[in-house]
Order: sequence, then structure tokens, then C-alpha cells
Amino acid sequence: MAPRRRAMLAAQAALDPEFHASLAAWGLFSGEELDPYLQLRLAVSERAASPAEVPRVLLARTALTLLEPSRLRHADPKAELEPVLTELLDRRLRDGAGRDKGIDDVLSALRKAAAVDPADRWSTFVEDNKKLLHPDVWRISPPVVITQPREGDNEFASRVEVRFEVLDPDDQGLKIIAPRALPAAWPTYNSFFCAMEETDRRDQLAPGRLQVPTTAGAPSWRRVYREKVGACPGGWFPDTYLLFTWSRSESQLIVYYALAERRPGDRTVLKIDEGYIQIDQLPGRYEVTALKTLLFDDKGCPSGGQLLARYAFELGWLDQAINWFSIDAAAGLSSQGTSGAVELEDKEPEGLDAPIQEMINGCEVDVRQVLSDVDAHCRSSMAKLRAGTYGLDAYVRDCALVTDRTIGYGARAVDKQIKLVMALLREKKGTS
Amino acid sequence: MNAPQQASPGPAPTKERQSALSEAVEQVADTVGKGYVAMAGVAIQQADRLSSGHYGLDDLVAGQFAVLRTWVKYATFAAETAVNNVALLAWPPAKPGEADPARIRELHVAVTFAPAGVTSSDLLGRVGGGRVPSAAVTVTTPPGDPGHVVTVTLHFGDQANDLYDGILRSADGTASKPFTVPFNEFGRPASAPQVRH
Repeated sequence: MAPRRRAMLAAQAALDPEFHASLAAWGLFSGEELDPYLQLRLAVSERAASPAEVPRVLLARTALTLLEPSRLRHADPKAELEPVLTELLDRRLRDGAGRDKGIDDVLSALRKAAAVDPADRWSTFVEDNKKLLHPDVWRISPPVVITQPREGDNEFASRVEVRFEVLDPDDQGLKIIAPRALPAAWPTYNSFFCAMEETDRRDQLAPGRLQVPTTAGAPSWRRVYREKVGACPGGWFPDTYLLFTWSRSESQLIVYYALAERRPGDRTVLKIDEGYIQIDQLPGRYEVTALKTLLFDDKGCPSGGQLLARYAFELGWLDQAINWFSIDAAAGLSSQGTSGAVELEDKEPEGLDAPIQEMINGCEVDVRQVLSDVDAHCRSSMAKLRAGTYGLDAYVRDCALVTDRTIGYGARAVDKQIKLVMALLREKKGTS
Repeated sequence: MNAPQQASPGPAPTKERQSALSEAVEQVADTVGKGYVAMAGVAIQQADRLSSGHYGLDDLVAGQFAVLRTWVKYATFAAETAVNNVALLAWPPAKPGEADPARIRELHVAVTFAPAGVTSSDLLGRVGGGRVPSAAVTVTTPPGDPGHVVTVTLHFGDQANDLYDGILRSADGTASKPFTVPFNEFGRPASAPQVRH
């Protein structure tokens, strides 16, 4: 995950205690006091004219929440938000003499909108401000995210649906958008994707493959890609192969995907990763629907990973669908590769990605207390071994100690689980 | 379940439904079970080596680290299960008998002919060959003055996941427009949907 996308995630967490608590339980921003102003500034820090950046519409929506009168920290937040306000400003104003006044006007539009009912907030912000705001802000509507757990085959999968509209006053059509939507181009339009690699060998085994090159102009084709997302370059999920189906007509584009057939030796922890992105071109606008269903394989992950799936949109998994419509999107095409078929060397993830990777390797999260105990124990034992003073008595004593701790931790964990379920049951009973 | 060529079987009506709570408890049980199985495995391995009479320094070190490894893995499993159970149980419950909105798909289609009186053909699954009968499709004109745009609403039942192709025909039958509807749903709703703006 790119640093600016992480900062965006942190800004959202700072404004939503429930979301923060969920991420903290995964080891993300755990114990951190997040400053939403700082995080929002970091989300635009050294921003490039790249289509893989945080979508401006998300920056604007978060700024609106931040500026709600009940949350306002300063009487004049301009100094703290100036880099963000600049990103929301129309380019001609940003680069011209009217920059300072423009920034003031964007702030005043945000504050005015932040004070009204949330249902009318966006229209209040955008209406009458089109000449002031960057086109990415007023052309693309804020996404509506619908999440729902789905039950089938005695499993719970997470369904995430995202809908938004994009104004297209020039009726440019899908020929502009389609090349950006090719799977190989997804990493160009979303920093959450490390790579989408065509895989010839798996392709031959995919049923129903159409013998058509994977071009943007083709009406239909199918092809298997290896997906790497999250911690780049290796990605969070090993051996994730997706079978894509491309469907294109004059006024409609559908990119449909599902996990390709699992093969012996595959290490993927995903049982379901499927959905589609659908773009319908209508006069003067596009309607976009992105659907994703996720389920982790409980052979390696007993809990199902419902949390990660539930927040797939917030993690940036679907950003590319927004960024295809960005003004900066054209810059992406000239720099993107043609196939994405570059084998990247795996390396240890760092920063925020590390704890998620830790969990996914065996569906585990970083439990700081346990790990630090283990670390101290190992250091002590290894020091004694090196010094030649580690005897049978010490070994037996250590074995007893770690076994005792293991059972003790297990008992506490089970106790916590039971308390959690009982508390939730009481809460549900109380509200029903 | 996961591809146009391997479509979801859809919900099994005779099967008793699993609740979010039972899934949460099952996840806890799986976690606890995995922990104890792993611990038992380490203990059996150590006992076998001891009883073989060839217990050496390697076993001395490896045995202890096997226990440590189990300790970490068990602890992390338990923590992650707790997090996901919160997510699972925090969803609002589904209302019994409520229709599944995910199986009702609505899209707008631009047509080149008068939108009044437009009808739809059956839709056919591109890979699986499934069928959505025209009776399950309604075509209406959006409110206001949308120009040449119609609203197509499809009621999916237990059709397989696939891309479904159909044709819209003008009222006089002289003009037509092909359209495609992607359908990809898993099972049935376990709770009411949550909408975030």
C-alpha cells in the first residue's frame, strides 16, 4: 500500500472510532493517536500527477467530515488543510494568480457544506462551485458503499458493492476508458495493486477461453492473471489467479473476474475473490458499479477474514474504477506496461503492511505481548545454549514454562471470546 | 461458485440456515481446536522421540521451538478470530422473509429508438447457458426527461453466476439494442445491507 493511501486510511480511521478499533485489532495504527489533519495532509504530500493517487473525491469527502462543526478543532483550519485544499482547487486557479483566493473559497465551500445535513452535503459543496473545484471533484460523485455478509455452504462471505456516477459532458465514450480498464493496467490506476500478470500456462486450462487478444477494443475475451495486492512487490496473497472475462459494446464495459481453478501446491488463502466492474455509458454521464465478494479459506484461516473483506473499499481495493475517470488518467497510459508480465521478487513487507502480511501468512495477527514474550524467551535460551550452560534441567523448566503460557493464553483467549459473544448477545437483546 | 464456468449453486432451501452467531462460535471452536491439535502434535512427536531412545540435542532445541511456534500461532489465530467475530456479529440482522436485493439488478441502457414500449428478450448466460426469462425482466422509462434511456430491472432466482446477454426491442419491433448484465452473487443475505456514504 502506497504511503499516501495509508495516510488516507489513517485519516478515515481517525474520524471513525469503530473503524480505528477494527484496524487496531489487526495491528494497524494500534495504540496510535491519529491526527486526522496530519493524516489528510500526508495523503497529498508530494502527490504526483499520477492516476494511482488517492482519488480527489475521497479527499473532499473526508475533508467534509473533518470540517463538521462538532469536530472542528480550530477556528481557522486553513493552515492545517492548505495542501488538501490546493488539491481540490481547479488547476487553472491553482497555477494562476487567484490561488490564495481559490484556496479560501474551497475552504469556505467545504465549511458551508459540512454544516448541512449529510444527505445534502455533497450537492451543497459541488453546486455553484464547478469553476472553483478540480473536475475530478465535481465530475465524479462520492461512491456509495453497500456491504453485506452472505451465507452459503455454511460459510460467511463479505459482499461489497460500490456505486457512483461520472459526468461526461463531452460524451467522450468508452474508447477513452476501456484501455485503462484492462487488467494489466490496474496497477497503473491503483497503488493497492502491485501487479496483474498474464499467465499463459494457467490460461490454457481455463475453460471457455476465447481466442482473442486481450485488447481494449475486442468485444469479448477471457484470460487468467496473477493478482498481487497490498504489500508490494510480492503482495499479501500468494498464488492468487483470477480468470477475467472482458465484455465490451459501444455503450457498456464489463470486467468480470473470479478465482481461477485452484491447482495443487497453490498457497492462496482466498476461497472466493470475485465480482465485476460495470460501466454503462448514458448521454452525458457514466454509471459505474463495482461488486466484490471475498471469503478466506478456513483451512488456513478459521475466522474467515470478514473484517478485511468488509473494509475492502476503504483499503483501496476498488480505487482503480474511480481513477479511470480522473483527469490525470491519461498520464497513466503512456507510462503503463503492456502486459504486466514482470516477475517481481518477493521481499519482506514493511511498515503498516507487515502486520497484515503476518496475519495472512497463516491468517495471523501480531499479538505484541505474546511475540515479545517469545522473543525474550528465545534470547535467553539461545544465550545459554551459546554459553554452553543450557542443560537438561533448564530445558525441562523452559518447556514447562512455555507450555504453561500457551495453555494460559489459550484459556484467556477462549474466555475473551465467550465474554465477547455474551456481551454482544446482551446488547442485541437490549436493543431488540 | 466462483466463475462463470463454475457457477454458484445458489441457496439450498432445505438446509437449515447458519446464523452469524453460530458461525462466530464455529470460528472460535475451529481456533481452539487448531490450537489443541497443534499442541497435541508437538507432545506426541516429543514422546515418540523420547521413547525411541535417540533423543538428542537437535530434539532438545527443536521441541521447545515447536511449542513456541504453536504458542504464537495459537495466540494469533485467537486474536484474529475475535476481530472477525466482532465484524460478523456487528452487522444488523436480516429480517426474516425479506427479499434479497442483491438478486434484483437494475441498470440504465441508452437506446437509439423511442423508449416507450420497449421489451426485452430472454437473457442467456454467456458461458453457463443459464436463462433469465423475459417475464423476469421489466423495462420502464426513468422519471423526468432522460432522453433515449430505459431502466431494465431483472429478478434473478437461482441462476448461476455469469454474464447474461439479452436484446431490447423497440415497441414496433423494427429496432433493437443488445445489452449484457453481469450477475455474481454468493448464497443469501446473512444480515441487512449496510450503506455507507
